[in-house]
Amino acid sequence: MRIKSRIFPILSVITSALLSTAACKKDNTVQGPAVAPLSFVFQNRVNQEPVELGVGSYTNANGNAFSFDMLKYYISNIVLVTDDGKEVALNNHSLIDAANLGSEQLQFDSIPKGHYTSMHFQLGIDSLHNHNLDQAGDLDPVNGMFWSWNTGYIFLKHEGTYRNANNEWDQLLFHYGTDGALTAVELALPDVNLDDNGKRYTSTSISIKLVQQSEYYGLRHRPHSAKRFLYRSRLACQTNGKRSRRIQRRPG
Amino acid sequence: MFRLCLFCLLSLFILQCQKEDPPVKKQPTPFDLVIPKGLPAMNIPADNPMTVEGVALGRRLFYDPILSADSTQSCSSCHQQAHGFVDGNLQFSIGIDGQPGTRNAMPLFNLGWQRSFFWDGGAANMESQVVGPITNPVEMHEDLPRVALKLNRHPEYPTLFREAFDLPDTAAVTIPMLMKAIAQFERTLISGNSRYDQWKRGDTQLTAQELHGMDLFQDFEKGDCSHCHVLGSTFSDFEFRNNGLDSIPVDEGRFLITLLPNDKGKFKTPSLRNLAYTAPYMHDGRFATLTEVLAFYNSGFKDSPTLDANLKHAVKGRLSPEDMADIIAFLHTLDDPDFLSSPAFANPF
Repeated sequence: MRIKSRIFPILSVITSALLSTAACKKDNTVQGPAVAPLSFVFQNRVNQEPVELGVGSYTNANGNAFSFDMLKYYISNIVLVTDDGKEVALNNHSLIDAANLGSEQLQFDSIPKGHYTSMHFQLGIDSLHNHNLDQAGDLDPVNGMFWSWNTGYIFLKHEGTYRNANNEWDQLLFHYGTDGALTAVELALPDVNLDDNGKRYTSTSISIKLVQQSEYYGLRHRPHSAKRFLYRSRLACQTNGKRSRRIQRRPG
Repeated sequence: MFRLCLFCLLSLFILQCQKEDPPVKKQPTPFDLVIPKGLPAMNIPADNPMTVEGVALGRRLFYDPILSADSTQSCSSCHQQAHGFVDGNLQFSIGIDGQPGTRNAMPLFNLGWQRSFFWDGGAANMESQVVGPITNPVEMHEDLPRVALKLNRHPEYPTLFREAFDLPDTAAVTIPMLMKAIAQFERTLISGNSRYDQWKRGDTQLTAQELHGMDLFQDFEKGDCSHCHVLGSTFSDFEFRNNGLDSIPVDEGRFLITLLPNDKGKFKTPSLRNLAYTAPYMHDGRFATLTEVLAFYNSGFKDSPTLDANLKHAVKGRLSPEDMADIIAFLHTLDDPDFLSSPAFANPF
């Protein structure tokens, strides 16, 4: 049995990035350092509801109910752009894991001061890094975000349950990836000014819509691939430390 | 009490001695990979240079069942040196849970010249291939965090990894290191001392039948084998081709990787070395003997939209029984018994 893409055509993950410069001392007026810290917090939401692993229930655009047991994704190549077009690259590949609160905050200690008006990044792994699993850190296969039978990274992994056509809860496995699925995100930064030493705080939110272009990609493949993903999902439940209420396991 | 204090003092003294006199760290020794004459130079990835320690570690890991979930199977369970590193004469290997795979275990030799791995080329490089069989539920069915945990808790592996990759004493074993070590060992699995190789070097003679078989092998009107199984070194172009096994392929092969309709039913051209030890043949091991294989290429191949162009034009029944016997005689000049008995590739345990 396969999960039909129709059932779950649009997963809208709203990620809001809170940008804040850490409080700088106000008396440090003249000769402050040329850099400032900056952090991003990724908050996962479906519409307006925060994603809660194992307990929440959400509804997609088709009115189908679904839940999350796991939500992990890669944010790559974050670049800040100044008002005069200068680009500052911040990271390579960062794995955001909803089960690991620490991973949802990306902290950068020394951003060059400047007036930043926009930023861009990618959801996923760029093609330069997507065809080799022999990579360390967040790209280490130990994170489980890869396909071994078709070398590549899983850009976004959402596992949980959904209410199927028979109105029963069934297992949901959404593994999103391949080069064509790399999603570029650009957003304007209304007020991020790291020029002065006063505390600046601003927040903005962005919406990343993952539409049907490569839905349930992995499940179309090898006969045993569905089983493989089932296996991964089981592990995920353990590592989350939360038991799903509703997972209905397929026999075998 | 006094004794205890003395003991403490002594311990301190010993500890201090150790602190002041740290053991000199040994650098990994570069591995001298010998390429037999007749085989091309091998490209070694810049981020995984071969070392004596790395190859030895990879060999040990290859033979260690620690990599499977229940410690019952190692890579060598299904890739046995005595069989050119295939799984005995099994059509489909059986994983730790008793489940069979869907493709014939591939022979492991001359891998450093291949551009991709698995029958469908799904693994983009040798290092990336390593985690496939370890995690596949119908193979070793293990989970990578558990692999890392087991290796780090092992009494010897952490030291062996640090020596192989020149790491500080506190460094933990990681999955990329495991991938690198096994790939290093696999690159040493070179088969290049068959009678054909010896004949090419002028060290031996081939029989008239074998030489005639070689002519037929290359003859576009006859065997026409060398279009894909390029004569001379690796005996494969390592391209993906539909060789006409089925008009509607049960296993869609390369298509499962690329999703290109033109790739349906295509599989990687295998080498023709060591055929005496690597039966059965084809991606699904459907042919038990080379006689069956030759009969298939002579008249059994089936047309389909993606059938290889060379076979589209091949005339059925173009080979006589003698022709086929001669080609088989030539193919057996590619058997390399030295490769099967080389102690460098044997189980180190």
